[in-house]
Amino acid sequence: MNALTSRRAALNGVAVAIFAMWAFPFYWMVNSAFKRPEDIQTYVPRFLPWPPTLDNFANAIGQPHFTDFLRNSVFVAATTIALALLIGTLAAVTVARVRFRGRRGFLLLVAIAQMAPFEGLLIPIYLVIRQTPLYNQVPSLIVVYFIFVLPFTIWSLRGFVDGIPIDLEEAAMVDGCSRLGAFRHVILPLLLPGMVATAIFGFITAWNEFLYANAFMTDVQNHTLPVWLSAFRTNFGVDWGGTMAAATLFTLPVLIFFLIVQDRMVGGLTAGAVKG
Amino acid sequence: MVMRTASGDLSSDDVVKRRGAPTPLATVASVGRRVAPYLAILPTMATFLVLLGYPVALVVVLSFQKYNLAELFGRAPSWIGLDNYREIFGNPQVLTIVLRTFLFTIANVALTLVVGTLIGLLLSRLGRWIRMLVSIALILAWAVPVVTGSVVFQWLFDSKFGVVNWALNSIRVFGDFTNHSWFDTGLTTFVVITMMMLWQTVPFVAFSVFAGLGSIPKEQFEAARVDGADERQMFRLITFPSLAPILLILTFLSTIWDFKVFTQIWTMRQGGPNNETETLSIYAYQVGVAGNRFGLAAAVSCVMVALLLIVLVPYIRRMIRTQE
Amino acid sequence: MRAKSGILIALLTVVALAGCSSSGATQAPSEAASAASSAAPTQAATAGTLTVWLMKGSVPDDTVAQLNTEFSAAHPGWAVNYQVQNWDGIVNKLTTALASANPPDVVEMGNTQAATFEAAGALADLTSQREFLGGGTSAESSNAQQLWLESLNDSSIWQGKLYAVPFYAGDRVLIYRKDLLKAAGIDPATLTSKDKLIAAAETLQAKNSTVTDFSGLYIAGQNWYQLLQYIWDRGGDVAVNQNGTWTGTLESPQAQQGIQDYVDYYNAGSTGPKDNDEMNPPEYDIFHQGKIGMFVGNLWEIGSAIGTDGKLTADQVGVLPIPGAADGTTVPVFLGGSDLGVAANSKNQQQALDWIKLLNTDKYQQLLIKAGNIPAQKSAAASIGSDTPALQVGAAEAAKSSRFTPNDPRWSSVEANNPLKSMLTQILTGKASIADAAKAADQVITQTMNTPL
Repeated sequence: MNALTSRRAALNGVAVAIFAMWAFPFYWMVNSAFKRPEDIQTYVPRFLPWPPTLDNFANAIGQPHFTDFLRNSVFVAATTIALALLIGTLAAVTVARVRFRGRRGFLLLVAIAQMAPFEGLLIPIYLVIRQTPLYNQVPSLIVVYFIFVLPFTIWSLRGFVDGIPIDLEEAAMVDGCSRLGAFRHVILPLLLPGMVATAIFGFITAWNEFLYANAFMTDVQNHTLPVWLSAFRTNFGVDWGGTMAAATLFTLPVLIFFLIVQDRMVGGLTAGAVKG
Repeated sequence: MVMRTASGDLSSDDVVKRRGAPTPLATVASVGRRVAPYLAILPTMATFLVLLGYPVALVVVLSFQKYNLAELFGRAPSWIGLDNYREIFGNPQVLTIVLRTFLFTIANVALTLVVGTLIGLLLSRLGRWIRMLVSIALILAWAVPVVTGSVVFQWLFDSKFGVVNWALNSIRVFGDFTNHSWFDTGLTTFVVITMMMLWQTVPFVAFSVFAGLGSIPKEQFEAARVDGADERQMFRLITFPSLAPILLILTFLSTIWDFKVFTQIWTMRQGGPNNETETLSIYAYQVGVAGNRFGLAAAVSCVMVALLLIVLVPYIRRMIRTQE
Repeated sequence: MRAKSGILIALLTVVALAGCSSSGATQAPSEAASAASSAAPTQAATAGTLTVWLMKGSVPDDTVAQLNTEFSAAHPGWAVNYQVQNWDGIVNKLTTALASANPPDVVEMGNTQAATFEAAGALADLTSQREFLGGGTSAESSNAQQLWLESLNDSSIWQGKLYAVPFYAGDRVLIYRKDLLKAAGIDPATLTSKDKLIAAAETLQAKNSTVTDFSGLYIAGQNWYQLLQYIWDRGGDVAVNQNGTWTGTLESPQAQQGIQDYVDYYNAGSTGPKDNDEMNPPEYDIFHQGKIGMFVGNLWEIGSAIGTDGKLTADQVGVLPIPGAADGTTVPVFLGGSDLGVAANSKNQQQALDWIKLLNTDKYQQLLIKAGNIPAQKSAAASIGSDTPALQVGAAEAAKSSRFTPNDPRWSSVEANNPLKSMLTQILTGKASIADAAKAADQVITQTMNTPL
């Protein structure tokens, strides 16, 4: 075995180890979801759910208004990232490429905005929102999540743009491309991986958020999935099987979203750029 | 060959000059170009100054008021000046809590960045299918709701029923782990909390690094290889400078997040055992939220942001200055 | 530099503006609400929707459906918007909902949370409606003219005024394995004092020593609800209120004696975790796995303890009142439960009262019993028959002498960082003596309970 294949084997070995470490807690969650409540915590750990039961999943999906929750969550998460990517990319590229007056001040503002205390702003935002018709309306969550996802989006995308060598655009423009064209043909394809990573982050943030969703949505039909997740705690204790089943289902859309966008993250470029 | 990665200003005038004297249309266009950046950042500015700015200002205002539950229901709030702050700093535990929060943050940020970067680099070297495998494990960890993840880790580390104790016992290398409590002291509890947080925060760093690596054009590596550079030199001269801005931002963000983290620590042991895992955010919750004392909670928020600002000023300067 | 100072000026301006207009932003939405909350509800609108929030698992859906139908029939033009809320995050949710411009009209609150909302002015004053609602003519808990379970009645009153209506209750009993006791030669009827209970626990332990991790009497290390029962049994309490000032009283000799009782029970052979409570792991699961002879648990734990897989059957499980220290006595039980409130901002207060009144009529009290709850009406609670032995025992104990946590909003702050739990762990792991640990807990309680409201 020569150096290259042994190197490859070593890398693969490390990869498998990392896979095992990261997948194990998730596997344990799914494992528990298929167990009967009394089998979840046992003296000798049961690595396979036996006897398995689908009751937890049936119970999870059977929760009243489940489809409402799902719909609301998808709507909120998707709109949040769309908005954030649109406005954020605009700002990030501008900041990274154009030297305008007040640019540093703007960056400072973004940095400070990043530090805004998310939980600490619940009551103040509530105080403002309760006097508006936006209270108890699902779009209000989009506004809130957007505010919190935007600073990070700008920072992150700016970092990615900074990593793209300026020579590429200059070369494109020398070749006759307009500014906008350079953006579309040079920056955008290279920025796509970064946009994807940022989108995933924004999606997960909006998808998992409980505090504001719980406090601002009073009608049950306006709830999002995280509120559904908390439905398994009653005054009769916690239905752990149901919780794990719900959590398993909860992660699936994120996985699907990831699988759809993930090949965009495989970077590399050949768009006829720098020669020599 | 050294690549310029700092973005400079491609003045519109340069492009115009290449085509000859400016026409009237070009003047309008050039004015438009000058205004364009401000238009581009206008939505963001509006969001931050208005949508975010007003509630933030309210937090500052609340921190100087007595604002408890009754005020939420109509009792007029009263101005109490610095009393909330006095109550915070008058607490003899506060210094310990602040120190603990900082140490916890530093440890988590360091580990997250190092492990995340290594995994990100690993991802870029793997074959397609095994990379997919690892990515799926990472994304699932990231996607699991924080509370659920917390519960699962508690189960794994349970003294009686936990898989970890069972596994360590089975290996027989580390001694007897029957009924070993992982939540006996603050330190061991923090170890479990950190492991759980790493499990969920590393994927993001790994993907970001991987994405960052993806935006380095392959041509650069090929050209460097042609010039005779080896792996280490390529990493030092091409990879790392390209990754640097991303890593800087990730450090900045991780610091903010880990400093403010609440749910994971709370669900594990509610700041216990014996308040030994109590950080600033736990403290804020206990005195402010649980007691419905929103003025006091606002004051704690202000203190936390102030502390973060002090710590992060050098970072911010660095990030802003990268432009020149 | 200019940009930075520009930003600073902008931020300061916003802060100043916010400060000036804060009275506008922070004011409660309806000024009229505070006036309306103390007046008697008027014969209001002729049609509308009544919004009712009940908690998950409180009342079966068909019972509520029946009640809503009856309500709508008696109030033509009125519909009921019935919502079931989750317990997780409910205090936050109730806070924001009740303080908004269109709050739900009827809300359910845990009896230990009720004080928080009552003291804040979130609920309508119902003092003049007590008799209408089924509470009788006296507000004095022990008075015969006071018709609700005493603890629930206490939790509904703040500073002399009635702000909530008792709903239902649950408490703890001694749950035991009939077959294991029989095999060990123990007659359940003899378990009438602490000493006898401990002796039985040790006998059970010895007889079942082949079962790994068996507990004759199981008790988790941080089960502070049980601890309070033993403290009350000895005449102590967790805190007392004198003229508006609270003092933690865990260090009193009576309370310390109660803590000692708890420790004695634990040391009789319990395998419960020293650093966790009765839900981690759930004690009924351990009972179900056959590792427990007896334990003190909530009524609703019995169903989960028996389980559905056939490992245990209902006739293997028996129920007894929890014996006190003195022979022939039982401990005062910790009464958990819920109250119903009417939002102070509600625009449908009369209808809300009518809805609640309906719940307190005998028909629905009986339906609550059928659902496994102890109803709030004393008479209904007394009517529980021996066909539901557990419920009967529980209800009898609840009527006899029930207590709960200090009736004060600040108690929720104490529970958020519960000093009782850490106190118990310190004592059980030998890190502190009862006296020292109790003193430390008292300091926390006294300080937290006296923060200005």
